[in-house]
Amino acid sequence: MPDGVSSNAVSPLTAERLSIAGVDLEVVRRGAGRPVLLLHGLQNIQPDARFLDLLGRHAEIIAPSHPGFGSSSRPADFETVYDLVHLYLALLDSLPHEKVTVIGLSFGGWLAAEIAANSRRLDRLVLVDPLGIKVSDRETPDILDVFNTSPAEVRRRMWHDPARWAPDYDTISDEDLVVRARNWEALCLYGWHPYMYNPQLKRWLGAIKAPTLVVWGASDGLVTPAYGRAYADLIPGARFELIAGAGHHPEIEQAETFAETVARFLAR
Amino acid sequence: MDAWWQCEVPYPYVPQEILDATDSVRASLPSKYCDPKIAADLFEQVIDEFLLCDDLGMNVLAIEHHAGINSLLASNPMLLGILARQTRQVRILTLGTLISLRQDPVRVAEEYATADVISRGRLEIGFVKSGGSEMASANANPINNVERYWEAIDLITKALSHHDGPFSWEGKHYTHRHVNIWPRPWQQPHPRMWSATGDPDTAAEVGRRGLVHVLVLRGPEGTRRAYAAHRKARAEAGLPKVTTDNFAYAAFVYVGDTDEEGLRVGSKLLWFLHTSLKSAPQYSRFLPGSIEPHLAPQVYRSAPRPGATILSANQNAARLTSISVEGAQAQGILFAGNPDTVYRQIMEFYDQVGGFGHLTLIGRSGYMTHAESEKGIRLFANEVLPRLRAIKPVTVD
Repeated sequence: MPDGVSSNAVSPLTAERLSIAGVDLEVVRRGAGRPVLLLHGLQNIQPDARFLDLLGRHAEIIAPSHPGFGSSSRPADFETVYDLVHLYLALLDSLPHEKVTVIGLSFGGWLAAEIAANSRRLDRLVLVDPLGIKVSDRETPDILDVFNTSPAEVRRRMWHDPARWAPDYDTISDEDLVVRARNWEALCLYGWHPYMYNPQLKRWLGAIKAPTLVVWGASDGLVTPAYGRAYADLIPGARFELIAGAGHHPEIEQAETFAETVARFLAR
Repeated sequence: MDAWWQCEVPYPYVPQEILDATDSVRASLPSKYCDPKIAADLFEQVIDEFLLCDDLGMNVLAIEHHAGINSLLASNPMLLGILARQTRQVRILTLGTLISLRQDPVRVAEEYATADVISRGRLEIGFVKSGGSEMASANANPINNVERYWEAIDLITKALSHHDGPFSWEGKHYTHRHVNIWPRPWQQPHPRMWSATGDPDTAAEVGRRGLVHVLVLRGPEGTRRAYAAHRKARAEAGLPKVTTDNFAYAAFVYVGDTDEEGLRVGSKLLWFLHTSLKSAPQYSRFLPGSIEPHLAPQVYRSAPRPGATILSANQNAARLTSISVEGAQAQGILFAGNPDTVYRQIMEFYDQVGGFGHLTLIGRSGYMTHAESEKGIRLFANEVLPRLRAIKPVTVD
């Protein structure tokens, strides 16, 4: 059993607030057990996401919305992945636990990889369809440019089953659309240039000491499984697992398989 | 009132079925559809039209747009250099290099100082915020675009006006540790500056800075609101009142011998709205930062809900793509007819918005021919411009 567990028996569907380094963050918490910092991707975590409940059976999940995402504030001039990495290193230091597992999804996977290369406090690292590195040659983009590609094409490449899972802007609530506009703006600010990667990160992935699992949606057309395998190969000892029937969001499209895969890795 | 003639050098000669099939005539339309021989003919004709303006004493204006059928003027300083040398008497307004897309504003200052010297002090420098598909074309982050805009203006202004050896600039978006440009501009401390913008926040800053404020195809309400925001910001900052000389308006203008001719040829200008604005959703309503997030419910849905307030430039563009000739005239977007009619339309608009000191004419677009364009220029310069010149700047409250 993991140490330093702070139990959170209630599973509120509303988010809490957390202040780190003077930044006011929205945080979704779920479950009890080993502490897990969950860093979201292109969108903030929905409190009613199925995978949260499933993972919460194995761990205490702490899922902040990045500054500028969801209802988290973004201080003036807080504009770079450098800022985000330092914010989450400070968050890790603020936790009572000696060791913390970090799970990063997509854009949050980039942050998680940066943090793992910088911190000795990681128990385990799980990267889910992460962005953050450049693999192919200079004329072959690795990461679909979501800002310069038609929304229909992004939708098609993001999901294994878009008809079932892609959000429909004509039917979701006004509140959700406002949050999505905020998320879109923040993502663009942090990730526009170089587009969704740090040219230096590849060199430092080899410094990651924590046992690492790289999980990939087999149908991901935003960043392909081939990119994922290259990513995993750069992290010493990393395991790579494909999840069938999922695109860029295996945690949403195959919540059960995803949670089982992660739980199995955490139990090793 | 002064008048400034411009042509954006549009390229309409792409087969209609290609234009219908593409989701965007800007940023992503392959350049194989641009025949360089046709482009060369267009440039030759349009530069001749600029030189005709010079002969007739009408000022000229050079714009910049990137990667689309709406304009081949991707490089404003190139045209500016030609105009600086080839014209002999009129003033030349650059409106302008899209500065928030350029990596180094100091280089832009060098280009402008050079054009001012070549033209022996006939340059005026206008700034345009850019946006939409230009962000993709220039690899420019749409977030913070306005911050870059003002910082670039500050740096260009200092580079033009500081003549005592190198200075250092370590700003948020631009760093240049050793700025010392040669030549310095002919006009001291620097050429007069303009800014094109419609939204209230930027309009207020344009007012505080005392720049000439130009509104492009905004119609009476939007134009009046922007001018008012300009004046209000000055009053609030305790700055002196300005005259109509601080305000400019850009519209499609064509003068014929008769109303019938003016309207028939002038309506060709609306090609710009009907055909050349088509822009894919990722370059328009889904472009990050192009709307305040609270407006997303109106903009992101395929059909806005009833009662939605239309605010953004993107929404304005969407409205313009389907405007009729009558609608364009009623909205002060198109002034067309015989000389008397065009003068009357301009002055009606002048009265509606509280006056302006500069009319910038979008004078050739779409399939308008070289001959038609030259005829319109002659009639405007000979029959309308003298009457506009009689309207002197007045202070406005």
